[in-house]
Amino acid sequence: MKELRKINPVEFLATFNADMEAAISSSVNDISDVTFINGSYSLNVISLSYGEDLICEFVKMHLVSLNEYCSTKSMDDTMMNELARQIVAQYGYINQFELCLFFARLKSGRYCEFYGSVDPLKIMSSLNKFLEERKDDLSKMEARKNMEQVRMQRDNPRAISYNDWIKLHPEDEKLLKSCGFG
Amino acid sequence: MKDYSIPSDVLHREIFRKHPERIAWLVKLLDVCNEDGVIEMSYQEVANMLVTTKGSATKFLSHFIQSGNGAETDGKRIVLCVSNSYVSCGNASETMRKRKEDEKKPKRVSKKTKETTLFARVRAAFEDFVKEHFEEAYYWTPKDAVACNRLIKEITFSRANRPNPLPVDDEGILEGFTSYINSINDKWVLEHFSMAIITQSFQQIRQQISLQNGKSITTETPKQFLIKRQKQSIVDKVSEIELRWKQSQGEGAEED
Repeated sequence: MKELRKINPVEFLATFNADMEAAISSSVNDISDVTFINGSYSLNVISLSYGEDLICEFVKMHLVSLNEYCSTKSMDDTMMNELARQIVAQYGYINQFELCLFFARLKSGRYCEFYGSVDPLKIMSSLNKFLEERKDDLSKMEARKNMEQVRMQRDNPRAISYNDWIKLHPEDEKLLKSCGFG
Repeated sequence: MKDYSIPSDVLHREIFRKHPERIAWLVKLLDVCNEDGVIEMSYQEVANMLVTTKGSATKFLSHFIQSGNGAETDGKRIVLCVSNSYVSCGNASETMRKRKEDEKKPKRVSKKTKETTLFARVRAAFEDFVKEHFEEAYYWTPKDAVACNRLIKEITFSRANRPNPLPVDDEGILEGFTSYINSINDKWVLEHFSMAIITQSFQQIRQQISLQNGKSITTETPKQFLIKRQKQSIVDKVSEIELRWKQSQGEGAEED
């Protein structure tokens, strides 16, 4: 957090502006790729470092870009302020990279289409879909890590089976049985 | 001998409108005829009659009828001939021949060509505008043609009836039309952009423009304006945050 406070808020917003959306989207396949990336801070952490205003402005910056992107009727200031506050309050655990990725995917029409106007409710439901994808990606990542660990243990030339180990350490068998193992 | 013809419906209309000063052109014509030696005494009398009865259109008409128009006057070879279509000054036979020739010819060809040209130019300007701004070709219907003619008339009227009147020639009207369509920034009109709609909304949009009062007229749509304002609001707010951040950084450094 101390490191984050050293960054000028204007520089921070300039780095993670709408151009970043496309850059992240093109270089990332799974959401889990950016969840634990270096230099990522959750919206809550950013809010604690700079205050709630900045993080709301950060979200609004992306919402304005979305407004500009869509040919439909734009959201007005009140709707946008309320939506930014909702996102920060409910989904403060996602980081700035994930938020950029969400807006990039939203613009690609992955979650919904806007008819008539840019609808805050549709954005929120899209964000929910995005977070479900995030959950799946994180589960997959976790499963991959576990599989990797199992494979590493299995392929270890020094590893032995439980039966072989008991044969080597018969004195421990009773202790293990008393503890409910074996 | 020269022959001078004036459409009689114009004369009749002007007289019945009771604007005697408008018949001055007839007096002028008769004067020109006189200078050319075409007109004789009887015409001079008519001219005098016009001048003397200038104050009253109905008086002039009654004098005119009493003088036995359409026939030779005082046995002179020059007559003032009034028919349904023309008031002619000149030799009787020549006038009649000329009138017959004129009736055979299609009437007011030049005026129609002029109108078509202006109409075509306005239509081309409109289609170019649609292509440029909406990236689509405009399907022109007869309804649009009617609306276009009406719009030309409205533009002509509005240009002529200003404190500082603007030229109402083809170029002027075309310029007026172009600046009018470029100044439309009403969201609804832009969403339903057609010749009929912009003609219907002419007064309303003109009032909007006059309310802008000196501000430069741009083609910025309400959406663009809203986004520009939203961006500006974010920039302003972030500047405030930056100022606060700088102050807190300064305080942090002093504490260190």
